[in-house]
This record gives sequence, C-alpha cells and structure tokens, in this order.
Amino acid sequence: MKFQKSIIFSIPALIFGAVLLYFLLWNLYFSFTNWSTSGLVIKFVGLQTYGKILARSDFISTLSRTLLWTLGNFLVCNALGVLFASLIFFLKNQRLKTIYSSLFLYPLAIALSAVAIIWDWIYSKSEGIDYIFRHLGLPSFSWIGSASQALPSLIIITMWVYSGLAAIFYLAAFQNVSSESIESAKLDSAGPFRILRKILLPESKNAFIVSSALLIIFSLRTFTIPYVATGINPNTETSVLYLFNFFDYGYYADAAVVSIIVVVIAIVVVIPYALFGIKRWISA
Amino acid sequence: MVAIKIENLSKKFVKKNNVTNALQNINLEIGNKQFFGILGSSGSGKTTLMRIIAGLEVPTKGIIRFDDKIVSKDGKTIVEVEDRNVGMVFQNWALYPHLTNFENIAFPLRVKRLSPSAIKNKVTELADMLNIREVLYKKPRESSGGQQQRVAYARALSKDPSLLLLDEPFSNLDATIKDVARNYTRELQEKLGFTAIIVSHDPADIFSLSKSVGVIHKSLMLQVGKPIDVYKKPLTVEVARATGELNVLKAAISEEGNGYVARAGKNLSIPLDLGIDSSNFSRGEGTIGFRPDEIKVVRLEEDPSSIGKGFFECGEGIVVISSYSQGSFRVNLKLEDSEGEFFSLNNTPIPAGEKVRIFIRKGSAILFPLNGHEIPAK
Amino acid sequence: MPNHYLRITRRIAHHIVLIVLAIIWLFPVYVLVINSLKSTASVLTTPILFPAASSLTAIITVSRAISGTLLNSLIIAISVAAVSAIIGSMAAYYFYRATSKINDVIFTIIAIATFIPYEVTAVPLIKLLINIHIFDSLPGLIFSFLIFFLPTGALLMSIFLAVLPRSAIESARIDGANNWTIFSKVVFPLTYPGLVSTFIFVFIESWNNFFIPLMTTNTPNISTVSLVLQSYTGGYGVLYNDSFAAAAVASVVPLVIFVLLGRYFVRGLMAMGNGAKG
Repeated sequence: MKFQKSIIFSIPALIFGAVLLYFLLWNLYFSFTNWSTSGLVIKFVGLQTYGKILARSDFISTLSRTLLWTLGNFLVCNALGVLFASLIFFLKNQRLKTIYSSLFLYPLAIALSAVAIIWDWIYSKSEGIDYIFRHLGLPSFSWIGSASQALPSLIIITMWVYSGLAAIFYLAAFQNVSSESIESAKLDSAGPFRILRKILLPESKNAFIVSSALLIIFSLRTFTIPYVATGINPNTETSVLYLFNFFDYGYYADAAVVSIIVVVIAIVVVIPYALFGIKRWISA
Repeated sequence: MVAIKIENLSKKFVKKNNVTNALQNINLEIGNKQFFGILGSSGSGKTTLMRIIAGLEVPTKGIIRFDDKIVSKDGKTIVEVEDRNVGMVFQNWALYPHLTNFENIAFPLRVKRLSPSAIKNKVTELADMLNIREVLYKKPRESSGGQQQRVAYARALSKDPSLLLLDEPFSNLDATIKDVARNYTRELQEKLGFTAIIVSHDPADIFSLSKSVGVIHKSLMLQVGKPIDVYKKPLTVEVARATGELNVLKAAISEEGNGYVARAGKNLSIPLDLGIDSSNFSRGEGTIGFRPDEIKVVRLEEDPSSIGKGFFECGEGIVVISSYSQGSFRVNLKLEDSEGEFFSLNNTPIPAGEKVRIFIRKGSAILFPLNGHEIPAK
Repeated sequence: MPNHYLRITRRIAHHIVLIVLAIIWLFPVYVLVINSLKSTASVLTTPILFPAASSLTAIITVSRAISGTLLNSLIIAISVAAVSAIIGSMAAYYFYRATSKINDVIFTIIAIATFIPYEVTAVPLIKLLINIHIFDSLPGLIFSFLIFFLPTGALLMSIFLAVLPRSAIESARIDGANNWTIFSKVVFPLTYPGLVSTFIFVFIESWNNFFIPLMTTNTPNISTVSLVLQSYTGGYGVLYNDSFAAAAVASVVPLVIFVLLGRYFVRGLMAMGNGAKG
C-alpha cells in the first residue's frame, strides 16, 4: 500500500469540512439576493441588501456593541490573565499552583446558559448583589437592566468566564522562561515586579497573541449569555443575535449579509492566527 | 543477499525559497553480502543517502537498483519501503514504547501474518542470538541502552531482510559497550549473510565493521575504497579528517634527488613517498598532512633512542602547550619561522616554550593532490 | 532585620490577594449551590446571596423534569466527542504524513472551521437538515455538532500528533506495515493522552453548546440540557431555586469531569493555541 493512500484517512473529516465551506458559500450566494419569506420571488439584487443593512442604525449599534464587547474582553481578560498567571507563577507550592489555576479556569467548563442564569440572578434587582449594595449604603445599579450599564455588566460575566483561559497561556509562557535567567535576576536582587516586567512579560509574546486570538473569537461568537439572560433586547443585542433575529423573522438574505460580515471579521482575526499556528506546528 | 547500484543520484531539499543540495552526483556499487560503511560528519548527507536507499526519501535525480531492479528513479519511488525487504536500526533505535520488547521484535512478523508459533520461534531464536531473553517481556524503557539496541537489531532482523541499514547505531551507547555491539554486529552479518550498510561519523565503526567505505562530505562522495586505503591514502584533507585526526601544514614542495621533499619553515623537511604516479601532485606551494600518532617529539637534552624504529628526525619545533587527552599528552607545536600549528601524542607533558626535536614515521606524510580539493565533475 | 519583615509582609500580601480573587471567582458557584438547595419557603424569605436551610426538593423536581434532555446531552456529547477524536486523529495522521503544499491549505481551512462563529451557518444548516429529513432529531443534532467539532478534533489531534517521533512511523513502514496498521498499532496507542484530551475537550464543549440545539430542534424531548435551561430563566412566576437547580444539574457533569480530568481539558485548550507543548 502506498503511503499517498493516507489521504483516505482525511476524507471523513474533509466531508464535514466541505459541508461547512458549502454553508459559507451558501451565505455568500444569498447575501446578493433579496430572499425573505415575505417576498414572492428570489431575485439577484447585487449589493443592494448589503447597502440596506449597512444603512440600518440597529445593525451599526449591534456591531459596535459586539466590537466594544470584544475589545473589553480583550483588555480585561488579558490584564487579569497576566495578574493571575504572575500570582500563581510566584507561588512555591506546586499543588497550590494547580489548585489556583483550576479555580480561575473552571468557569470555562460550565455551560454558558447556566452561567447566564446564575449571573442573571446575581444581577437581579433587590434580591441579588444589589441587596448587599443597598445595605452597605452603596449606590444602586440596574446592571443588565439599563442601557448604559448592560454592556459593562455583561463584560464582567465574560471576564469571569474567560480570564482563566488567558491566565493558563501566560502561565505556560512564564514557565517556559529558563530558570537560570530568573535566578540570575534574583542574584541581582531584582524583585518579583521587576522580574515580571523585564523577563517574564517580554517572553510572553506568543501567549499574548494566542490568548488574544481566542478571546476575540469567543467574543465575536457571543450569543448565549445575552440571549439567555435578557432575550432579544436592544440593550444587549450582539451581531450574531441580530442575525438570528433576521433569520427568526424570515429575512434570509439579510441574515446572510450579516453572516458574511461577521465571517469576514472573524477571518481577519483567524487567518493570521492560523498561519502563526501553522508555522509553529511545522517547525515543531 | 542484494546488490545495490546507485547511479548519478542527487537530492535537493526545498524549504520555502531555500534549496539545499543534500547529495550531488553520487555513484556507488555495493556488492551482495558486502558490509559497506558511509563515513561523514553531521550534515554531510550521509543519513539522507541511507534514507534514500531505504525508500524513506525520494531521490531528486538518479537511479537506485536492488540487484537489477530499479527501486527509485528521478523523483519517483518504484518499489515502496514496505516492499524493499530492508531492516533498519535507527540512531535512537525507534522502538515502539507502548509495546514489550517481544512485541517490538514480533511487529514485522505480525504484519506478515505469520502464525503465533512461528512468531514465537523466530523471536526466541533472535533473542537467544542477541542475549536478550530475560528482557523480552519488558517494555523498552525498562531495559538498558545496550539491551534496547539489541532489541532494535532483533526487530530489524526478524523478517530476514536482504539489506540491513544501520544509522549511527552505536552513538547512543556507552563507550564500554560499543565494542561489544560492534562485535555482535559483525558476527550477525557473517552468520546471516545479509548485505549491510552502516552510516557513521565515527571511523572506529567503519574500521571495525566495513570491508569498503565511502567518505561523504558536503553532499559529495569524495572517495570510495577499502578502509585502510582511504585512511592511508586520502584524496583530500576532508577525507583524511573524516577517517581520523590529522595535522595539516602548508609546505613548499620541491624535487630533490630522486624524490620529493616538503619544507615548512627553515627547520622542517619531510621526504615524501608519492608512489609511481606523481604527475597529479603539485610542486611549489602545497598542503601536507600527517597523523598525530605518526610524529614523535623529544626534548633537546633527551636521548632520542627511545623512539622506535621507522621514525627519522625531520626538524625542530617549539611547544605551545601540553594538554591531556585519552591516555596520553597532547603536545601542540609550532615552527620557529612559519605559521601553522600541529600536535603530537606524548607519554609526558612538555613545558610550553621548550624546543623539541621532531621525528616522523617514514612514508607516513601525505601530500594532497592538486585536484583533491576540487569538487568532482558536476 | 527590616528586609526580613518586608519579605514576610510581601508573602502574606501575595496569599491574601490570591485568596480574595479565588473567593470572587468561586462566588457564582457558591450562589449556585446555596440556591439550588433552598426550599420554596426560604426562597420567599431570603435574598439569593444568603444561605438557608437546605432541601433537595428543587434539585429532585428539576432532575425529573429534565432527565430526558440529560440523556440526550449524554448521548450527543459522548458520540460527538468520540467521533471527533477518532476521525480527527485519522485526518491528523494524513496531515502528519502528507508533505505537499495542499497540507498547509487544508490545515488553514480546518483552523478557520474551528474558530468560525458557527452562528453564521444557522440558515444553511437548517435548510440542509430539512432537506435530508433529519431536522429536529437526535441524528440531526449529532450531525450538526460534528460539522463544527470534527475540525476541532482534527486540529487538536494534528497538534498532538506533531510531537510523535517520525522514526516510529518510519520504522513501522520499514517493518512492512500499511497505513491502517501504522495508524491503529503505532499512532493511535502513542497519541492516547492527546486522544483523551480531545475527547474531554469536545465532550465539555458540546455538552455546553446552546446555539446548535436552539437552531436545529424545536420539540422539547429532542432538546439538550443546556438548551432546556432557557426555560428556567428568571421571570414572573419562576422561583429562583428552580432556576439554580436546573443550572446546577446541567453543570454537574462537565464540572465533575473538569475536577477529575481537568488536566486533559487544559491540555486540549493549550494545544488550541500553543502547539504541542501543552
């Protein structure tokens, strides 16, 4: 048997990959039509549907919310990731290191719909965290109930979910730094902050790229948390929710246009990451 | 059990925009039942050559024949690895870590779907031959390095290959068991009669095992011949270096009486034994080489009679430094009025700065031919 | 010696910061546990941040109600994880063997497929499922999950396979083994830990997935547990102990797996970004 025949091994996976590719092309095709359940005939309209969508203020507001959410996650989770990773890195006890890593990572193992329920109640007026605030005499918040506080409140939830993810990448990067260079810094009586700034962080570029790519991709996908916590709600709607809404009401061409826009944004992030990953993978 | 013929073989590796010539224009014949050695430093292309013979790489150009059958030709594999009936011992032995030693040895037989009793007989026979019976039911990592290596041999031999390939098989062994391993390698080959090719950077492997050797350097096969000939009459400095330690000196070559003499500085003059055909050799500026064990030095006040027969005095040098390596003192020397350093092996260290008399074994100096450095025809 | 005191103070501060952060991170689980154990009576008298006398009523009621979807989730997560790991490792074996440039292209496609916001494929996915008559069925759900998780499996396994020594496969070829033998007798056993990681990772991800069942099912008894939670969200008439009990029941399986086999999950995560070092 010739080894070229090993291509047979990839066929099952390729079939599923092809289906996914077909979905994307399907979207692309119908994004140039006016297809909806209310229309009578499907017509090719070129970029007309794109124009229509891009002119809608609710599209712009959901897209900017999605991008703001993504940016917020990117900043907060990376910052907390570095904080957690360095706090854990400077622990001496191996067991404690493992325990704390798991403690910051476990939210990732919980279904986002369960996460949404838990936080929805934590944020609930009068019964939730507000109860404590009120009794401490602190100002009262409406959390996800108000237009201005909804996004920050949601970012707190995703921060809780995803910071541990960033932390383990940074921790892995820190642990790859040669112990000699850390020890020699200690001999030069450098404190932990200096070691972090001068030695550990400069060596963490890969961790930054990887965790940022994953954080951005997870944020772009954000559907379940706002959907379960608030339903379709103009204060919390993201792009993927927006497209779901179009689909729900039978505006298929409009949904396809939003899909293509989201895919393009995702691919701009994924391709550099994928190429970066491939380079490491091949040189490994 | 198979003769191998390699014609005009070249291999290029293309990575991004970089093209590396791993092998250029190799021609080689390895006779049936021969033990052939390929000697070269790392990166010389020697492992690539072996992998092409095995069928793990495809030659970019050229033909490989097993007996008369073409197995690879010009970028194509005609006969796949699986069908070449070769056994191979890898440098790291490449045993299957999840299988016991028994199952490792039995692996090729299971692939061939031999009956369990036939497999058991074959494995036990090989285990007895290689003295690894007691570790048969252990995993490779629970066995010593020497045992793992013998398991790798047994696996390579269990399917009765007509060609055995050995890729630096001893480099991961302790010095003390290297000779033992070389010895059973030789015995196995004599007993079982397969054709064998060993690739190594260590001339000791080649001299102890192979009847014929090819020296490869920077993708070129520089010389093929009997090991002793290649050692004594290397065509180039690279060949001489690959086969052992070498001192190299720039010298003035001149015809004197009925022979040639190489002179370096005022003090050193070495008569050369060029054999019959001297037309290839340069006159005027030239390069000579001599093995460190072919020269001896004596302090000026010392009695030179301790130096054995066959050596004659050829000049005077100054000690640069004495150091110790492997059982003797390495004395580095320079000449009073000439550049270049060389060394000799001595029983005692000699203080730096001291003058010594230099003796050389008759006929041991090598004058490298003019075209010796040149790359053979493209 | 002041230096000495400084060091001790620092050490204490270090631990205090960690403990405070850990408490904040555990807080939602504390809320989850105390409230899923509250009786209806104490729901009406305590705010959600304070514990009350525990009772298993809510948990039992909810478990009864969603036992069917729990079973669905289990069937789906196990089969999707197993198929993704096995088929994925077969594809990974191809990537490992192939030397052509197509390899890079396919790998890039797989990486994109892994990370694409799968919500965008909702409409064509539903149309396809309806066309082949598996919309709103267990096979349809498994098929849909596989479309999204098989590339993940292939990507993860490619990364785990990359550390396999080439000589192991080469010696198997020299020993006369064909692709299937090399894959099943050498590659598969040697990448076993990577296979477990992929399985665990895909299991947790598909157990927790909400959007795919939301799109591809519409009868409650085909639903999965993470989707069914939706009906327990807060609102008029919903008592929060039921909400929390449902969330707790849905989270038990992935959390137990995380606690017991977390290292495999972490290796899967690390492999997604970091290559084989995880």
